[in-house]
Amino acid sequence: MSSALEIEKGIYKTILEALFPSKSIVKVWSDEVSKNPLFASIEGVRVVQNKKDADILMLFHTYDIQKSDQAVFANGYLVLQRNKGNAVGGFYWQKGRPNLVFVKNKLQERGITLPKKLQSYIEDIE
Amino acid sequence: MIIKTSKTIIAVFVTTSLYANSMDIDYLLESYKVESDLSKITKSESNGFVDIFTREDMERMQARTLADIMKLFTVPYISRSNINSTMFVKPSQKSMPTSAVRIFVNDHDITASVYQSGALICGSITLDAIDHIEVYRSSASVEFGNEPSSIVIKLYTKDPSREEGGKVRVSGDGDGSSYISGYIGQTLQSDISYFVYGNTNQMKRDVYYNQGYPIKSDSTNANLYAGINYKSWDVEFGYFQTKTDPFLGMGKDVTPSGGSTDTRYSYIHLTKKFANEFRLQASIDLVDSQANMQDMSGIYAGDFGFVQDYSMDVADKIYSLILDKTFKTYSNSLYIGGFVKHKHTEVKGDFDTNSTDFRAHYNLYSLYIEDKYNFTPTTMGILSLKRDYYRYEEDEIDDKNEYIFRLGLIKNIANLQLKTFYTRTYYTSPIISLYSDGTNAPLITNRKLKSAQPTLYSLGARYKEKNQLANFRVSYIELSNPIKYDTNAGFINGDKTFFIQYEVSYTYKFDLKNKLTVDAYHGRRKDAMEYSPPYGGHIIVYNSYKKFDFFNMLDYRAPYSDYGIDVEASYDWTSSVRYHYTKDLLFGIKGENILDKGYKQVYKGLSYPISVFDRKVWFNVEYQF
Repeated sequence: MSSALEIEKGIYKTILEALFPSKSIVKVWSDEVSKNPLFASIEGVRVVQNKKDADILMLFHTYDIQKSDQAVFANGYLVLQRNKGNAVGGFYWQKGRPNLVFVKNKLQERGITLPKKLQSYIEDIE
Repeated sequence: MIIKTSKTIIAVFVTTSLYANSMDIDYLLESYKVESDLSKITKSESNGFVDIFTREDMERMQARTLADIMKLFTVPYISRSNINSTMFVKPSQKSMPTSAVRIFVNDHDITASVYQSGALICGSITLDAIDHIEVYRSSASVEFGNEPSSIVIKLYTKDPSREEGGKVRVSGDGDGSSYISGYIGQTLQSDISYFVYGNTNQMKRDVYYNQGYPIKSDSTNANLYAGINYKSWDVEFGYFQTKTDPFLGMGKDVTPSGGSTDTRYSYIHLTKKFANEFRLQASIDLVDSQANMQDMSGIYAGDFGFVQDYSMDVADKIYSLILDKTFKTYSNSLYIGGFVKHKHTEVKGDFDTNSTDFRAHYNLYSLYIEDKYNFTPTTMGILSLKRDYYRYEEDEIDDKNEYIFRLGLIKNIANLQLKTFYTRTYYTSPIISLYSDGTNAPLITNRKLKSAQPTLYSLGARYKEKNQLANFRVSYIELSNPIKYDTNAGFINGDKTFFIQYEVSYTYKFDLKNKLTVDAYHGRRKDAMEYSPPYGGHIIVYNSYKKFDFFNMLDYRAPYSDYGIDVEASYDWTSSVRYHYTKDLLFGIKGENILDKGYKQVYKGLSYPISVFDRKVWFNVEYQF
């Protein structure tokens, strides 16, 4: 069995491949510096230091991100609740288990069609 | 007949459903849940032999109380006392010192009562607030920073940042028992979180009779817990209440005619973590216990002789201040700490027409140090030293200085881990055995009583592969100054004795949801007498199939004889099924002691043994929100 870190890496790889199926390199910015090595270790991912250069903003503790061109992904329950208007999805702990959701209207706004294996994780979040 | 039944059960147990092992996102999320279990962060291999009961394990076995988990213990195993409190017994032994087992909720020691034991409440601690449980054996590690013991049970409450919601659970059995609990945990900002829990339950137990007197052990219990975390501050509050029928009571001929035991335990615990691993803790514990026992045959009350109506009110107050700090380098971890505890005990006793009333105070000052040094990346040495200073405010009791010394070595060789410990510790003498204000009631005290001093030599081997885990542990325990009670002389120190215990276990994980564990244990006294089952074992199987979870356990204990009563081998089969109607709504059914051949305990003065666990069927509904 793999370690939690390796599995977490696999989960993020699946998420990023699903959100950016046509990109050979996905540029990731994170508000949690300690997570950068994890993202950098994913094949096809480059960590960027400037938000504007990113394809996706990985938020762990930013509760009020301004609307931006980049996709926003929430990595905490409270982060998703406070960024409902912006987040394309979230990966967080709730009810004692890890949860993965993709926000239906945000996927539609960005013209993203998720692969079949992830479609059961799409939810209407207002 | 028994053999045939056992074979059938084993065949059922080993029939497992293998889960599809695909690497899809469902599988990744489930794997992440298992591998991110909080026990992987909190457990400490250097503190002894550790066994873990995860949240997943406890949920799938539909555990309600700590007693349900203790049923899976090998050494010591669970039994119940004559007043219906939980009791630990090592194989072949009659009992073990209650102060040898300490129970913590997070970092709070809840065993600090007048009896130096959490036995009055520990079996009734409910588990819905608990994330996971760690059981440390051959421990006596000073890293827990508290009073001495050789077994430590650590209960960790749920992490609010992993809950972000709550749960309600309702259970009931066919005899009229009920269990209701609920919790909510949330983060309010990134640096403020809280967790609040409440439970109330009523347990209906089988009634027995002796000479026409009913032997009842129904109980009513309540648990509350609240924890708030703000940045590096934690404040916790806990409350346990248990009111129980007298069960056998304390009468000479076991003819209870009335009474009850009512215990309330509350605490508040403050923790502040500073930079550089420096920590300050302060706590207040309040224990209030009233016991009333009535028996026509007479209840022993020390110098007052035998009485028919026996009442004791005990109130404890404990004030604690604890400081500790860890210094870490690449290959070394040095932990130093100290605490001051002020203990205040008030006892009021009414024994027919006689009464007693006394107070006792003492301060306990403690200094401790533990060094863990990695000689190589695969070899760790452990050295612990603790010095305790008991200062009694009663002039009649001599002040005492005690110490704990521990040496350990952990060696990893590929998949094999070897552990060995040498531990010299002591068990504290309850204040009630030392002092009763000159009346020598309800027990004949001994102010010169020495602490019992166990010396433990332990060796363990663990082999771990991808899906397999095997453990072997052996401990030789030498006990100096064991404390005995003699109705003429009172509390006295006995001669040095020894005890050997062996444990072996094997776990095979078929996949994330299906696993099988088999264990066996044996214990032998110096005099080779067998006052309780000398050996036993378990077969434990967790299975899942689609939306169903299954848990099955067979608890076997060998035949034994005590007080001239022969007790047959016991086979306690527990089985539970849980159905996930949705991700958040679950229905369950659980059978306990299904064969009605579970472990029976012999009691002095009673002509037949009594089951520790009743045959029961529980129904369970859980909803998460």
